[in-house]
Amino acid sequence: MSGPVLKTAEGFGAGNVAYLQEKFGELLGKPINFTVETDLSLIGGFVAYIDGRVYDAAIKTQLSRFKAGFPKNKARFARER
Amino acid sequence: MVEAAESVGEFLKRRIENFKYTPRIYEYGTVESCADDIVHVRGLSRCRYNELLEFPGGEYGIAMDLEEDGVGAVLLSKSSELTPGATVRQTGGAVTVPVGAELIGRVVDPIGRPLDGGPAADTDRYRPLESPAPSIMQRSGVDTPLLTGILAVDSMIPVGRGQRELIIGDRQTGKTAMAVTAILNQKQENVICVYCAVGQKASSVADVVSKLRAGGAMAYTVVVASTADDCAAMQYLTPYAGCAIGEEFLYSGKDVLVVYDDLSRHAVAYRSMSLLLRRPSGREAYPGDVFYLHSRLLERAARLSDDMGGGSMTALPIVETMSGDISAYIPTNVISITDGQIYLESELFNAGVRPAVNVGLSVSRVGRNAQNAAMKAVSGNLRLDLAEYRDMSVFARFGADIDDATAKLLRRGEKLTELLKQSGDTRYSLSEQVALLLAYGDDAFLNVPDGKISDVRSLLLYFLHEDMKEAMATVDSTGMLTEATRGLFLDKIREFFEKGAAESAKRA
Repeated sequence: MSGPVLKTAEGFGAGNVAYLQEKFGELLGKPINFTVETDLSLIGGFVAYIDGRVYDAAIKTQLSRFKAGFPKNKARFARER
Repeated sequence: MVEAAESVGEFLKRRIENFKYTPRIYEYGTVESCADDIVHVRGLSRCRYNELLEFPGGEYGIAMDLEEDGVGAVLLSKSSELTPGATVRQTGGAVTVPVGAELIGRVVDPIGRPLDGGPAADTDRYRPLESPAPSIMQRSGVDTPLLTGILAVDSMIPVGRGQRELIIGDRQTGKTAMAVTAILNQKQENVICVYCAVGQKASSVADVVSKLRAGGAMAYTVVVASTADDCAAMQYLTPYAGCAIGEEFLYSGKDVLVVYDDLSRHAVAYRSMSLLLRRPSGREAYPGDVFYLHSRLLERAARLSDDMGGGSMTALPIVETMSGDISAYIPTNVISITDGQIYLESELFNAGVRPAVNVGLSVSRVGRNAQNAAMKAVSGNLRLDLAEYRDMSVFARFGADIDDATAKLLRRGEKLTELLKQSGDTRYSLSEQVALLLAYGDDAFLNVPDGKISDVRSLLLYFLHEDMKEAMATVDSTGMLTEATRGLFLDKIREFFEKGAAESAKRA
């Protein structure tokens, strides 16, 4: 991908995009102009690709982190009596 | 059921309360090209060597070439639907494998995915596949035997716990059979076993697993397998995965036996990867670091000091030779790394000498330090006897006149050769081996026809188990052979052979 890309779920809003452009611009010290793409699998939040770095604030990723802490063997719940 | 549901609810509530929303920041790269399981990625400027990379579609790869403007990675999956332009993510860590007692009895691939149809191993412990070997001061000397149950090995090429003993020979000479016998013999020995199958046929792996299962060995064995149709990267990782699984037990103070079957295929897989990564090739087209490939693996086998828990990891690497050439590149490399080798010869195998051990070319550098006192007492002259027999048998073939002493030497050699033959499903305990060698040393087998030695041996052991049960149990548990016990054994052995001779005379 060439240039910054912002992937969002549906209905992110132009106002939010502008806000992110401003904040990332302050963070990285240069103007950021996103190409916005819609990715429904993110569920919510956004993923920004800027200069070889990913800033992942998507709900999908957080749910994966949440799920990662689950025990693999369901029988463990039965032993917790 | 209500209690289980509440338990799940409590768990979820706790997890939600403790969960923190944390955005992730990581590097990404873009796939430039993908061919033959090698992916060239542009970007990833902060990627580390051997770092695990995540590709779209849940595929993973390892970064093996770090260049200024990109990374060369090998994929860990057989087939890939990667396209140029796909995004690649660094995971921030090296390849790990799940470890722990939950893996015992399982057949898994090098990254811990089950291959036996069961669920994923329920463990939360992971170890990196690559880790440093114990340092010099963390080790102690190898002084405890690891009994293989094979008379020829335990008496003349003894293996100790913490030793690296190479099994080398041409194809179909019994290398895997020897390793499997060693694993089966650890049933009562409190040794965890790990069998690593590198690039083997799936049918061969299934055969080994079924033998282990039938022998009850899966109660203490983990099988790590990559079959011949797996990609080179998975075959490359297999021995390191097996080693990491073994290390979890090693550093818990346990004794471990790891079999690498075989390192020749491992070297070939690494050569494939290196050539595809366009690394400079050396002798026989292997990359320059093929020695390091095996040395860093085998150095992780050790006997640890008491401060480190006193555990041990014994390695039995297997190397296949071509036409008996042990001076080829990979065999010489691994011979120089290990603490000895057991050389299996095709000629001996075809002549019916099984296990086909060439005692002259086999050695254990740990030697008699790794033998029980009982075995030391009865096995001292075996190598010499066999060496003299080999030398003298040349003269006998030419029909030269030989004196009585030489004739006796030749007969003793023939009987010893027959005595050392052992079928694949037979294993001898320490007491049984000591008894057989005492009988040999007493020339008890001298008048037994060669073809009958196997039957007489079985009957002798049966007789001794009936009449000397306690003495044999004492030898097995203490590893010692007192003079009194030795005398008892010899009396019983002579009684057995006298009875046998009397019955043969009656029938005649």
